[in-house]
Amino acid sequence: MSYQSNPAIDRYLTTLSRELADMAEPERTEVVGEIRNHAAEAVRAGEEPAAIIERFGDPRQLAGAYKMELAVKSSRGPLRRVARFFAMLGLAAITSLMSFIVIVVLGAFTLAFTLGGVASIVGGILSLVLPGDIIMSALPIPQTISELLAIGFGVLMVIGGLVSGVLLFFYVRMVARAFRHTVGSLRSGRR
Amino acid sequence: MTTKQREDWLAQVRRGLLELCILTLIGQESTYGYEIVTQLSRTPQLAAGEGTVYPLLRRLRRDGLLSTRWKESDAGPPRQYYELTVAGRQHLGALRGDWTAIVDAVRISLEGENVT
Repeated sequence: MSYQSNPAIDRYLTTLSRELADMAEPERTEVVGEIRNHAAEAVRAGEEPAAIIERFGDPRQLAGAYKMELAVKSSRGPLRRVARFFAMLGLAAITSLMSFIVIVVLGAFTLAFTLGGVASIVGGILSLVLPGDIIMSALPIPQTISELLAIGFGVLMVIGGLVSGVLLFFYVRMVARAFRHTVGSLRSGRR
Repeated sequence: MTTKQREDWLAQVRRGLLELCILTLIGQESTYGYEIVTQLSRTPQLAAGEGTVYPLLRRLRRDGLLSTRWKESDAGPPRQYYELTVAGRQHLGALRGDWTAIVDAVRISLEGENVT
């Protein structure tokens, strides 16, 4: 019988591996490999992947149990904590300056482009539909074309604004994750 | 409240005994994690699930009591077999002696309580 990996089990192993980020190689790979073998043996014995995962327990807790068991003999705890603290400090220093620029620029882009774009589209449509000219063309081109141009540019602006918004969202999420990770290892190192 | 206290007490008692049981199991023959957990699940009094056994195995290995080696498995990913090192065998012998002495001492103290 050939081995088939199970997506739920793979996901569990990925999370476990991430939670064990503090553990030195090759131990971390060995630990994850051992748990992977256990899951495969249990699947072969006819157990349900969900039941196997449930008995492993929350990956964070399992990783915590490893850390607690192995911390008994670890002598470099305090030094590591100092290193973590400086890592945190560095992260804060870099991201706070960067965040200031990124958030202000992307935030302004998002707001200005989206609102400006919507205004341009609405203006273009109204000018096209209503009698009389709302948009005054500064260019020597027919009125209808300049109205269509206003709508077209408006759409482009809204897209630009939304893209900035999405970028801003991802940036904030990335920074939040980096912080959570560093703070998390700072906490677990304190045990 | 009493249940909580009883659980705490049991957890403490089991903690050390599990080490003795695992070392004994591996001392009988070289074996791997899944087999150890399955064996121990036959004695639910020890309450030794995956979450306790695997971290303990790593600690015993780091302490130099166990050695490991990878072997192929029909199940797919390879198994990690554990074996007692020389230090592990000595440690197990000492623990067995300690355990017998403790059981005797506890029995005497419990029986003494009954008499009075």
